[in-house]
Amino acid sequence: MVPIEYVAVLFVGAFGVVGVARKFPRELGATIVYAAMMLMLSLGGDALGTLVYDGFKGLGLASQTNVDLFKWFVMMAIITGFVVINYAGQTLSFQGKWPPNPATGLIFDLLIGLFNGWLVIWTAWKVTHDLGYPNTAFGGFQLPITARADHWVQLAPLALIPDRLETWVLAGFLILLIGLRVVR
Amino acid sequence: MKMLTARGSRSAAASLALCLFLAGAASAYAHPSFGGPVDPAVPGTLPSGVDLSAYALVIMAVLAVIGAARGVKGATRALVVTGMAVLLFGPAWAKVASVINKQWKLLYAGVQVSAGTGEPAEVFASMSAMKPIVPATGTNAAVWQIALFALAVLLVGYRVFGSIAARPAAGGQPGAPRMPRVIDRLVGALIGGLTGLLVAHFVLPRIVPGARISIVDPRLTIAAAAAPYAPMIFFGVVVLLIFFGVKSLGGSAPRFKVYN
Repeated sequence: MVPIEYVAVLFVGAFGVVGVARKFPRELGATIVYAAMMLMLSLGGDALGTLVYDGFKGLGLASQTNVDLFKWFVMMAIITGFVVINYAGQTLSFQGKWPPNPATGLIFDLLIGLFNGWLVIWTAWKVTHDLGYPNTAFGGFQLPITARADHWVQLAPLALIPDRLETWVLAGFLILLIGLRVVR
Repeated sequence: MKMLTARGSRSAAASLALCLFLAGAASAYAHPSFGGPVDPAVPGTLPSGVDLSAYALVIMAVLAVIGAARGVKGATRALVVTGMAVLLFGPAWAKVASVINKQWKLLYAGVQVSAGTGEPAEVFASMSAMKPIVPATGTNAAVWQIALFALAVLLVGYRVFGSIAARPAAGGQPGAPRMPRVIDRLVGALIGGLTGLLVAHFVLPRIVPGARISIVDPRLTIAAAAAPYAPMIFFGVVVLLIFFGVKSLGGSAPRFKVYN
C-alpha cells in the first residue's frame, strides 16, 4: 500500500516537471492564481461548502451524515478548477527573456514548479485531513494515516501561517505578485 | 505570439495531465488504493549514533561559499562529479577495489617482466598470490574510499590543480571568463550546499561509524534548533526565489498587453 505522503510527494514532483516544461515566467503567473485560490479558501471555503450542502439539503438530495463529504467535494472542485484554469487556458505569465542561463533557469523552473505543487497538493491534503478524510466513503483509501503523514500534513501553507496573520499574509503575497506582474 | 502561447498552454496542460496520470499509475501499480498505513512511525526513539549534523552544516556552508564564488556552472560540475563519486566509491566500492587491485597487479607484473627479474609465468603466479593493496571491507577500506573520493571531487569536480596551475593572462587578468552574475552566485551557493550535504553524508559516517546526519530530522540538533524559524526561513527562500527570478527576466515587457 502506498502511504498518502508518498502520493503527495509524487504529485508535487509532477508539478516540478511541469515547472521545468513551462518555465519560470509562466509558473510565476500560475503562482498568482494559486495565491488567489488560497485567499479564497482561507476566507470562504468552509462557508461555501456549507452553503452548497444546505442547497442540496433543501432539494432533499443530502442527508446529515455526509456534510463533510459535500464540503470536501466543493473544496476539491475549487482547487481543481483553479488548476484547470491555470494550465488549460491563457495564463498570467511574466514577460521577458528567460532563462538567464540554462543551469540557473532549470533550477528556478524546478523550484517554482515544486512550490506551486506544494501550494496545490498540500492544501488539498490539509483540507481533506481537516475534514477527516471523507473520501474514504469511496473506498480505495484506508485510515489511519501514518505518523509521518500526520506530521507532514502540518506543513501545508495554510497550516504554517499563524491564523491571526493568515488573511494578511495571503493578501500581501497576492498583492506582491500582482505588483511584480504590473511592474514587469 | 498568442498562438504560440496557446500552443504552449496546451502542451503544458498535456504535460500536467501526463504527469498526473503517470503519478497515479505508479501509485496504482504499487497498490490499487491510495493512502493508508505502511510505515508506522517517524517520531520515536532515535537510533544510537553521534549526531554530526553540525559538522555537516559547516561543510555545506563552506562548499556553498565556494559555489557562490565559482558560479552555477562550476558548482553544477562539482555536484555531478560528487554524486558520481558517491556512487562509485560507496555502493560500487567492491567492484572498484577489485579493478584497482587487478590493474595494480598487472602493472607490477609488467614492470617485473620488463625488468627481467623473473619468468613471466613465475611472475604472474606470484602476482595471483599477492595480497590486494586496496581492501574491499574494513577500516582501511574507509580510508581508501575517503582518499579516492577526495581526489575525484577535488581534481575533477573542483579542478583544484587547474586553479593552482592557472596563471594570469598577459593583460594582468586571470584566464578565467567573466564573473558570474548575482543570480548565478545564488544558485551556485545552493548547489554548493547540496554538494556539501553529499560530501558530509559520504565522509563523516566513514570517520565516525554510526554517525547521524540530517538537516531536516527534528530529532537531531540542527533541525531542532531551526524548527521554530523554519516557516520564516522557507518563506524567505520563496521571496528570494521570486525576487531574483523576476529580476533575471531580461528585456522589457509591452505596456498594453495583459496576456501574452
